[in-house]
Amino acid sequence: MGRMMLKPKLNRRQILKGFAAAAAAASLPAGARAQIDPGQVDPRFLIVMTGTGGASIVDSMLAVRASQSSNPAGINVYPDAMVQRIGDLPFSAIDQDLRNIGPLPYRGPANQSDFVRRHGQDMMAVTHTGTSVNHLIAQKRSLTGNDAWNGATLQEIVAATYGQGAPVPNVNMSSGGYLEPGIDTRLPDFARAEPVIDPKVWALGLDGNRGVDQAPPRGALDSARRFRDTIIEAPNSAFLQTFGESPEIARWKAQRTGQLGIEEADLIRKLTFLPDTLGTPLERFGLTPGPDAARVREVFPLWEIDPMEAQGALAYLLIKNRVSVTVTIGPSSAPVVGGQQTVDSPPLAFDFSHSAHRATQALMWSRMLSVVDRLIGLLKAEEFGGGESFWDRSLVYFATDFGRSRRRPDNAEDFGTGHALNNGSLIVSPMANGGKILGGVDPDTVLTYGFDPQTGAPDVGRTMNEPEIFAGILQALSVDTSPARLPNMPAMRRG
Amino acid sequence: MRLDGFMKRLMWLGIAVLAVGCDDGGSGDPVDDMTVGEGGNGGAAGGAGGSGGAGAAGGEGGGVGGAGGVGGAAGGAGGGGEPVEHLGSRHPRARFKRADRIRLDFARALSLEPEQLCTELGFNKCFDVHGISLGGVEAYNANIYEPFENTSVAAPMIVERIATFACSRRIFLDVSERESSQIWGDVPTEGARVIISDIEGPEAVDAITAMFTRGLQRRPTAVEIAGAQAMYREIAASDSDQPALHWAQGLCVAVLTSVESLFY
Repeated sequence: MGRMMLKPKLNRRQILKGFAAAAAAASLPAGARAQIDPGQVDPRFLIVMTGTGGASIVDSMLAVRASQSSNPAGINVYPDAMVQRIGDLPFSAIDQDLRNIGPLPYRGPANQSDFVRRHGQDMMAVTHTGTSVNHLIAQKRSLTGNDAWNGATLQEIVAATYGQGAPVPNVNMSSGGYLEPGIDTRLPDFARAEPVIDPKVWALGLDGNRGVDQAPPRGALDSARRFRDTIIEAPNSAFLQTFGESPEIARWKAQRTGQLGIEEADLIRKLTFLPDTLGTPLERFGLTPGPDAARVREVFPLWEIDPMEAQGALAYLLIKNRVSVTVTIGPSSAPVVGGQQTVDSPPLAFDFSHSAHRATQALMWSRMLSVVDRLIGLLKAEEFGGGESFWDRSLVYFATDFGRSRRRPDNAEDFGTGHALNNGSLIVSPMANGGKILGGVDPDTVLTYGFDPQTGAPDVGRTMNEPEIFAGILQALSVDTSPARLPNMPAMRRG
Repeated sequence: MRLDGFMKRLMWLGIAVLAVGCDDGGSGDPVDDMTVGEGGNGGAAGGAGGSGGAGAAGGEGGGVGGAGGVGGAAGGAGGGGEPVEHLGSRHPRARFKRADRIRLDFARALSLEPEQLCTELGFNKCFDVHGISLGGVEAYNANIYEPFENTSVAAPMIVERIATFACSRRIFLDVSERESSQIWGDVPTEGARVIISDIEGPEAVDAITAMFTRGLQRRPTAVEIAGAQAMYREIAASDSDQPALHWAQGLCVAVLTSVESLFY
């Protein structure tokens, strides 16, 4: 007994308890779940924006003015005039007019201050120090808290907690380690992420035959499904007598049953934001743009050429239509070229900082903030019910691989940086402890330090670890983390 | 041990002889049908023919006539019979075929090029757009180098969608180019319309058998043939304006999207 108490292992029963309700719902096919009154759950929405390649917090909300540092020439601090402060808010904001991204052609503004001005009261910057400078590993750890809860990701846990009534609770449009599933085998199947490569046309896959050229009518397809399900797949068929107990086949059949609810919910139309054009001939295939298509295209006008804008459009539709409770978006490693400029977004996203740190950080932060700003605007304008907007129940987590190294050649305006464990993340939500920086940054080293999890008071003697940030995000979303014995992080919650 | 092995081989030989000898499953002769099969896959269909013989002996849905080689003509249906009891696998680890195998299997079953199977809105290749949901990898855009372990929520719809695209393409090719038709060439047409005057007639039964042989590498049981015929009657009784065409599409989709087709 005493030996057991000494072991820090989690109690399996306690951990399972956290998923118990969700697992019960998992036994229902998704179609049946789709019909559950959404009022039965009290959902929160998690939006993850991925800072692919390493979004550095000291090049945005925690940027340091040169005059504050005893070593301004050799370290990544900014000229005082570049570091803006908005009102009483503690955040820094760097606005720049870029003339290039290192060797890449780019001209244009990169802006952070507009976001702070609009959402400062909901913004919370938290410092942390990671455990890997390998991109894929660090990306995944930023979502699992370094396997803090049996290796499940934040999105999987939110989907398991709030996604019982949602047709596709967890949609992930990101890449690399941010797209990898967690490793908790006990997670309900419905909470696993639906991967999306092309947000423009992904919704077409949410119906078995609509939009298919010369497809048979639904009645004929229903007859075919019945023939398949009851005759070809009769329990006494040779194949199912042999493999009928296969859990993989059982999962497939449950998912297949669920497709009826998804098709009936008309998601192929509701989530399609393409216009009917020669390039996207919806009408020719018997489809029409969704009811919100024109509005989201207006908000994200570069949807056709910029994958992040298309992601923003689909993210809004997924949440607004209560299809998903968690959506993950973010730049991939692929460049965006030939849209508005020769290069609209550098290859490797934030990791182009190896070649041109400041311009890359400025442009990529600007791109992320711009998409999230518009997404928040849409969610604020959409009523959830009871006088609340969807935004009132949403949290945006700017996940990041890691930080970047801090040194620079003396007074270099741009320079290359490597990977660094020390960093921080931006969280934006009415449920977060908004208008605050939790922790701080040492102006002489530009390394961040931690905070007291209870009070949020800066603590120069500690750094925050991955499980603490993981726990704070879940707790801000009102997820009960006690089964996993995660640290209590009241400082990250509002009120 | 040697004797045991020998006895086992002798026993299996006996069963095989019995199976071939007892094949009275209708008009088809598995051996003859193998020889008339088109294409070079007669060997695979020969296995299916043997299964038909076993059906007659023990009644796997009743002996169904032997199938041709893949792409070849098939035998007719036999009489009914009691289902054979198969032992369940002790370790039923059926695996989902995933995107690449599904693409190649569908293409092979329908004699289409893999690139021809399916496009979204006429431009986007379905396996490029949806492949990752079917356990494909996406190295270039998503940095996913290993397939996900589990199928996703949308996967069954995506598979049906791809099958519907591909089946429709095959049927329309067969109808418009009768001389090179693969499955539906013997089913009568009237202009571009597929006509079935007798769902129990040999043309329809041949098409059913060919579809099963191509999709599942075995012949249909009598119950499955009857079920396919019942499906036609159901569609014909509905408001379908082209019941034969819609039946052909439905039959093809049902076979290709069955778990027997998608798992191995």
